[in-house]
Amino acid sequence: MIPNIYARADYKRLIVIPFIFILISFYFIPHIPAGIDLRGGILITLQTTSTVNPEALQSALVQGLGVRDVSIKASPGPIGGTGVEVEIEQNENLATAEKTLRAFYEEYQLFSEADYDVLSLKGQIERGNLSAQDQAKARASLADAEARRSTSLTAVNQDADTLFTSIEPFIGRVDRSSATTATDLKDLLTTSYEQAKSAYRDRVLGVLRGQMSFTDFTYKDVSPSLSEFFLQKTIQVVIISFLLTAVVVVLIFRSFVPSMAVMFGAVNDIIFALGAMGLFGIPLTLASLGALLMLIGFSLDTDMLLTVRIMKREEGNPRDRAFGAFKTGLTMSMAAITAFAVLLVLSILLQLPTYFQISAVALAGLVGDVIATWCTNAVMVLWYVEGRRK
Amino acid sequence: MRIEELLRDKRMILLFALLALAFVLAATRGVHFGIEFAGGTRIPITLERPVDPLTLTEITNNIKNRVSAFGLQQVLVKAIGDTEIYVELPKSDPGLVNSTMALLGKQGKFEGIVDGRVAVSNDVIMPGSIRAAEPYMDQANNVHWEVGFALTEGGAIRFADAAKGKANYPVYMFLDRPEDAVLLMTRSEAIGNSTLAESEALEILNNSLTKGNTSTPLIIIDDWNAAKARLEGINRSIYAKAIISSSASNATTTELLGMGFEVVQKTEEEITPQFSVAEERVSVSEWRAVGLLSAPLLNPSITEGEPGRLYSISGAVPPSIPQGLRDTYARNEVKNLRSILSGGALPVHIIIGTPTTIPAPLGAEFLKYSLIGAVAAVFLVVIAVALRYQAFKIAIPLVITSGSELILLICILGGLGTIDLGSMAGIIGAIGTGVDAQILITDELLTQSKGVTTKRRLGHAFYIIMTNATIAVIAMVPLLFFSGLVEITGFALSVIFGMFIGALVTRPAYGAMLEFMLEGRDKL
Repeated sequence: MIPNIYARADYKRLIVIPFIFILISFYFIPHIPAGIDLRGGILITLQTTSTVNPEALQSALVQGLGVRDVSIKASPGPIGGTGVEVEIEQNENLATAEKTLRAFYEEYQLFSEADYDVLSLKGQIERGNLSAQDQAKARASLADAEARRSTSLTAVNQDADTLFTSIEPFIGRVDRSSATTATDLKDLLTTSYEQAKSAYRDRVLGVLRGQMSFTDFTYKDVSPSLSEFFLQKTIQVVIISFLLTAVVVVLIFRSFVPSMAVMFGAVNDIIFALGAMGLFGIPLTLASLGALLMLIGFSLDTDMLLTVRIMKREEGNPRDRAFGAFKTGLTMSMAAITAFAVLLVLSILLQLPTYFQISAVALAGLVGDVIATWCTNAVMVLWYVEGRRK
Repeated sequence: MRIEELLRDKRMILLFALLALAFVLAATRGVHFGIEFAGGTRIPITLERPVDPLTLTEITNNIKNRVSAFGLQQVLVKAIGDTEIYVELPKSDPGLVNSTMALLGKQGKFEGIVDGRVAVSNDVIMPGSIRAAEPYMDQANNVHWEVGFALTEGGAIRFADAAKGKANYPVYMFLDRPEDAVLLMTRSEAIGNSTLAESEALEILNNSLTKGNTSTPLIIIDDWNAAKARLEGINRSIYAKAIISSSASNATTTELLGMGFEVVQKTEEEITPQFSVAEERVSVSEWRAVGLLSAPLLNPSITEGEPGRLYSISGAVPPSIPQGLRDTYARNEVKNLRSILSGGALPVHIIIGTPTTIPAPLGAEFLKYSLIGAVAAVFLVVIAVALRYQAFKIAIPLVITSGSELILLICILGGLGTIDLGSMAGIIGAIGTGVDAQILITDELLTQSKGVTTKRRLGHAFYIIMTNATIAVIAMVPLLFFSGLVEITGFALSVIFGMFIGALVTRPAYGAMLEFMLEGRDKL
C-alpha cells in the first residue's frame, strides 16, 4: 500500500515539482519543428523495395530542387520494404509566384473596371445630350478612369514580369508576345503557373525515382496561403477555447483558487506537451494541435475529480479524500496512458505520422497531467480548504 | 435481480435503441470514410481574395455543379476558412485527376443566339463590364431590374449584324450549350406548360435549338420504333451523347447505351421547356436540359444595324409574385444573368493547387490499422482496470460500453457525414475519456464510502462526468463554429458527439450493468 503523501506535514513542497518541469519545457518549446501544415511545403510518403540511402537522397533533392531544408525519415514498412517520408520546404520561387498571381488577379480586376469606366464615360460624352455641367463632370471622371486604367495596367504588367521570372526555372522563358490584351495575359499567366507547379511536382518525383523505385505514394503540397491560414486560425482557436473553458470553470466553482487550480492544470499539460514536442522533435501540425486540445479535456477529468472530492464531499478529512482521489485519478491516467502507448507503438511500427503525433503529444500531456494535478493542484485546493476551515 | 430485469432497465433500453438506430443509419446510408482511409485525391483551390460566406457558398455550389455535371459522383467540395476550397475525389487515377483539374480551371461558354445566329458570346463581353443596377420599384409597385455590359469593338459589329431587323426576337441565352448531344423527350414533355399544338411546340423548340447550319436533333420517343429509326441515322461521331429524362424507362437507356450513345440524364424539370408569350410571339424562355437559361427580347431600338458597345438586359418581376418577395426575385434574376453573361465564371479568380493523392490500398491499410489500434487499446485498458480493481467480471461491462461507443460513433458520424483523419482522432479521444468516466463510476461503486446507497454513489460519479462533458463540449465549440478548419472540425464534432453519447447513454448503461453485478455486495 502506498502511504498517503498528503498526510505528511511537508506536502506543500510538492508544488515546486511542476514548476521545474515548466521551466525545462520553456527551454525546449522554441525547438518545436513546424509541420508542413503550418509552414507550407511538400510531404511525400511512399513505400519502396529499393535500399534507401537517406544522405544520397537528401543531397539529390537539395541539388535537384534548389531548396535547403529537406528532411528524410526511412524505416521498415508494415508490409515489407522501406517506408520513406520526405519533407521538402516550400520552394521560394513557387511561393512568390502564388503570391504574385493573387496580386495580379486583384490588379486585373481593377484594370477591367477602369477599362469599362473609360468606355462608358466616352459613350456618355459622345452622345452629347449632357448639360454643360454634367459634361464637365463626365470629362473629369473620364480623366480619373484613364489614370486608374494606366496605373493598374502598369501594375498588371509588373506582376506578370515578376511571375514569369519566378517560374522560369521550371518551364523556361514564357513568350508573352502572343498576349496582346490584359485578358490574354491573365489566361497565359494562369496556365503558365499551373504548368510550373506540375513541372515542379514532376521534378520532385523524378529525383525520387532516380534514387529508388516505388508505385504508390502520397503527395501533399501545402501552399503558403493555406499554411498562413492554418497558423492564424490555430492560434485563434486555442485562445477562444481556452477563454470559454475558463469562463465555464469559474461558473461551476464560483471561487477563485479552485478555478485557478483547474486552469493551471490545463495550461501546465499543454506546456509540458509542447516541451516534449521540442525535446523529441514532434512537429506542430493539425494532428498534434488536435491532440493538444484533447489534453484540455483529459486534464479537466482528473482536476474535476480532485476538486469535487476535496471540496464537495463530507466523509473523512480533506487529506484522506485527496489521497482517495489520487488513487482513482492515477488509475484513470494509467488507462489513458496505456491506450495512447498502444497507439504510439502502432504508429512507430506502421509509420503513421498522424497517429504518431497525436499519441506522442497525448502521452506527454498525460504524464504532465499526473505531475501537475497531484503535485500542484491537490496542494492548492487542500491549502485553500484547510485555510478556509481555520 | 435477474438478467431480464437488467435488460428491461431504462438505461439499457436507451443504449439498445440507439445502437439499433445507428445500425439502420449505417445500413441505409453507408459508412463514409474520408480520402485518408478510402483513398482518393484532394485538390486544393485558393481564391484570389477572401470572400464573404454567401459568396463562398455560391462558389462551392458552382464547383460542385460543374464537377457533378461532368459525371463524377461523390465529389466533396468543402470550404476551408474564407480563401480556400478542397475538392475531394474518391479516385486517384491520374487521368481522372487531370481532367477534373482542367474542368475546374475551364471557363464556361455563353452564347446569345438570335434566330439561329450567334449574336454575342462571353469572349466579346469586356471583362469587368457586367454591372447590375439596384432593383427599383415604380409607382405601380412593380420591381424592375437591369444588368448592363459592354462589348468589344468586334463584338459590337457582330451583334449589330445579327440583330438587324429582328425587333422583338428572343435572344436565346445558352450556357454551355451541348454541341455533341441529341435530345430525347416525350410529347407531353415537349409541350410543357403551354397550350400549343404539338407541331407548333416542336417548331418553336427546333428554332431555339438551331445555331448556324447545325441544330441539336430533337427526337420524340412516344413511338419508340420511329425514334429508333431516327437515332440509327444519326452520326454518332458528332452526336455522341443522348440527353433524356431520368424518369425514362431503364429499357430505353439500355437500348441507347447499346446503340453507342453516352446517356446523360436530366430531371423532369430540366427536360421540360418553359414557353412564354410576349409581343404576340411565343418563344422558349427557359430550357435547362440544353443550357438555355434566359431569353430576353430584342428592343427594336437596337435592331437597326448600328453597332453600339453598351447594352443592358432589363425586366420587371411578374405581378404574380407576392409583393414581399419581389426584391429577392429581382436580385436572383440579376445574379443569374451576371453568371450567364460571364460564362458561368466564379465571382473571384481561383488558383488550383497541386493535388494530394492517397492510393486506395494505402488508405485501406491505414483504416485497418486504425481499427486494430482502437481494439488493442480498449483491450489493454480493460485488462489494466480489471487488475486494478481485482474484479475480472467488470471486464464485460467495460468492453460492452467502450465497444458500443466505438460502434455508435463510427456508424453515426460515418452515416451522417464522413469520417476523416480528424474524426478518427476525436473518436480515439472520446473512447479514452469514456474509459476515464467508467473508472470513475467503478471507483465510486467499488471503493468509495460504504454505507451510502448505490444510487447516491452513482450520482457522485455522474456529477463529475457531466461537468467534464459540459466543459469539454464548450472547449470544442469554437473549433466547430468559428474556425472553418475543416481538418479539425471533424475532430471537434466527434469529441462533442462522443461526450453526448457517453454522458447520456453509454455511461448510464455502464452504471446499470455495474449495479446489477454488485447487487449481492450492496446488501452486506
